[in-house]
Amino acid sequence: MTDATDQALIQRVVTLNCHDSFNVLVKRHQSTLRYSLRQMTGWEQSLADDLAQETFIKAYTSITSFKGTAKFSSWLYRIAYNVMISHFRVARNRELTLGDDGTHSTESSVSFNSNDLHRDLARVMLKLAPQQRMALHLHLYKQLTHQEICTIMEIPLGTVKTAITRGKKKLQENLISWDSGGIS
Amino acid sequence: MTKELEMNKLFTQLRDSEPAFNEDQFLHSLNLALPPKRGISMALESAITLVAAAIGCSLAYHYFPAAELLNQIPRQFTITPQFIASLGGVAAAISGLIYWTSEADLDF
Repeated sequence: MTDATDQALIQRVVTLNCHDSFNVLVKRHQSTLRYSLRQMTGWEQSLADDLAQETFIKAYTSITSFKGTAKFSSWLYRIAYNVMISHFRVARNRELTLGDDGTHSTESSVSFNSNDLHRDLARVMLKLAPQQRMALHLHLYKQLTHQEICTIMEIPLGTVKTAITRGKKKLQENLISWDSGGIS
Repeated sequence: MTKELEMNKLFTQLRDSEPAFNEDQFLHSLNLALPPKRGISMALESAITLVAAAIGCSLAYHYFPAAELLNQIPRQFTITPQFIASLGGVAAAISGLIYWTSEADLDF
């Protein structure tokens, strides 16, 4: 079963409600998705894993709506993006309700002393808006085309291009303050 | 241009050293959180049972050879020693079979 294609496994989940086939899909895609969500959440591991879990649960419950026109991984990323946006919206509303001034503490908590390149970049990326962050991650890290990013994020092509251009500029500015020893 | 190259270099470096997250704990907790397997609803199950019962009854009514079977039932009984012995034999066989199945460790 582990050699089966994503499409064949999805077919088994849809027709036979096969948990084992879904587990194979999870095993196949969990690592890359969990990594991406760590990058999106400033390397907050437990939050990233919670979002990844929610993503897989939503994928399981709505797998019948997967048409197979795009790759399963793209479809997963679309769900993950929506889950992430929803999480940040709720978190922001909660902060506003509690009287926070809206400027998240991540600004001050960013530290470049760690040698962990992945974690450091995730913290720098956290300074970008979620949309820019996701677009930039998909473009620079996942090396997806603008059109693929459009499909995943369900936003117009122009918006994707703008998000990437502005995101790159902002990321560049933030990287200047990065300890040069961290990049090597 | 240099900045662009530096950024590309950085992301290439990240891609080359991407950590893997494959521990079973995540899959285990996900399986606990997944909704149980979807089954048919009780209403649908009842409806299917009713329809199947109606079809079964109508088929039985039309095709079951009730009259022929009724005609085969003997109208007169003559109790003979052989009949009683046969009856005893059958009862003993059934009792033996019941005893054996209850004692034996059957593994189907």
